[in-house]
Amino acid sequence: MAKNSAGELIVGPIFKNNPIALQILGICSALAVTTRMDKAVTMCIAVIFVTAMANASVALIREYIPSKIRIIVQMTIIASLVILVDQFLKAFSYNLSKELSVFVGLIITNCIVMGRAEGFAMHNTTWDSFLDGLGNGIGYSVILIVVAFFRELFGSGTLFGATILPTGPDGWYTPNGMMVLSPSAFFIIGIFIWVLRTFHREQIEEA
Amino acid sequence: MDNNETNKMAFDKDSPVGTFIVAGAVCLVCALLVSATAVFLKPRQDANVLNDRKMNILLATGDFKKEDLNTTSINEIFKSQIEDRIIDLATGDDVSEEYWDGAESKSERREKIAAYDQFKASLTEKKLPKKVDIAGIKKKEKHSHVYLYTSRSGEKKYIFPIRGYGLWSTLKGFIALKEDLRSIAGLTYYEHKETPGLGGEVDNPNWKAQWTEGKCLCDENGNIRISVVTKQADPQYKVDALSGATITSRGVENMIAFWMGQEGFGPYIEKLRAAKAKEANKKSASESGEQPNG
Repeated sequence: MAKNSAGELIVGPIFKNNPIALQILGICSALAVTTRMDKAVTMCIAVIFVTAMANASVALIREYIPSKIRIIVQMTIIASLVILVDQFLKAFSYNLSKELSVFVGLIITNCIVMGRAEGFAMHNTTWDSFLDGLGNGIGYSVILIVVAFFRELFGSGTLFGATILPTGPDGWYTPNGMMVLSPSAFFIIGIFIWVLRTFHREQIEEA
Repeated sequence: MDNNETNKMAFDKDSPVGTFIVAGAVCLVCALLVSATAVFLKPRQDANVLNDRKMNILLATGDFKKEDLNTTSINEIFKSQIEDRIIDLATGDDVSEEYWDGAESKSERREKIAAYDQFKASLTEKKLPKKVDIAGIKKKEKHSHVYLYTSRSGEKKYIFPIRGYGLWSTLKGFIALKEDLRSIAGLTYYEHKETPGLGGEVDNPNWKAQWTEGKCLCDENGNIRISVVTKQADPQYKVDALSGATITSRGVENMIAFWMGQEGFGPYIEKLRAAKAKEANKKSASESGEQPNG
């Protein structure tokens, strides 16, 4: 693992080893915050920050973490970072923080963050871990943004709140109500995985 | 770093002492980081909360759209179209003057009144008896804010702060009544911790829109009729409950019944009605008196 180049560490988790598409981690928040692009993008930035910083900090002190309490130490670091993000959101983007409500706090329990801290940062250098966190955060974000793009476009006819497909009395587009509801995210993630695996055939599990 | 490397030999991280030292150090650093951020960002967050509350007061009137409001426009509208008053809940009298605190100018008085925090005031009160406390607020303040809104066309609306317990938390919000004191102009919530997607849908614009379409709070005699969960045939008193969130919906119904009833703004509303009836009588009397002359 130490042989990985910086580029591979960042790009790898985006398509080759995507945390949502291949590892099927972090689905819960991917359903909840993808009804609109602005929500999804805010969430992505928060997750990228947390995965990268948590990985880097865990790797920095990995030699000193007692193995018996390593999960708790990781949790403490992750939780502190998440509270930090939450406080910043409340100060600088109050409306979005209200709409994201509990889901920012739930980054703490996002399996991606924890999984990378335990699986990668405990055995790798600080810089590599930072890049790995960044890559995994971006991998998560790509899916979120793709899902949010389709859900907002077809669910409300807008992107970032700006009208793309005119709805209402003078518009021609009838919004697809199902897209606003959570199940649609499952369909989109499913289709994404399907498309991904037609190009990366090695990701298909044996039945 | 070099220093750490040499220390590593002597320091056994897996011994009980080492474990405690590492755990303590991690906690200390994290705690410092979190508390420093919280303290540093507090003023900004408080300003946001205040701004959000003001915005919800304006949204309750039903005359504004969320997208059109920003901090400056909210403050401007607040200055020109909203009158903040403090009333005695038990008697229904306007007691704003008590809060002027010797302030002379209008803007100073406005600030003094805005500074009154009724939630804080309620904490020092006695506990409400269970039978009365249908909204589940436990303690009720003596004085409450009431916001008078005058639209550009001169139409008046009254905005009342309400709160009550839902499933997980106290919901805080505003209900606005039109000039007739019967029709509801709007309902908003600015603070709650209900389940997102279920009870949290009290924030959903589609659900809130129900409260603006010709719904009436009470009948002509002032009996509160509006209902969210109970069976109600008359469409002007009926609001659909939130699906999957019966307890939150019941909370909404109860808090409206409480705050609009005798325990809440009932006496104040009655006084307003009486004053209005008097004025109407006077008007009709003077009109009929004038007619023979004219």
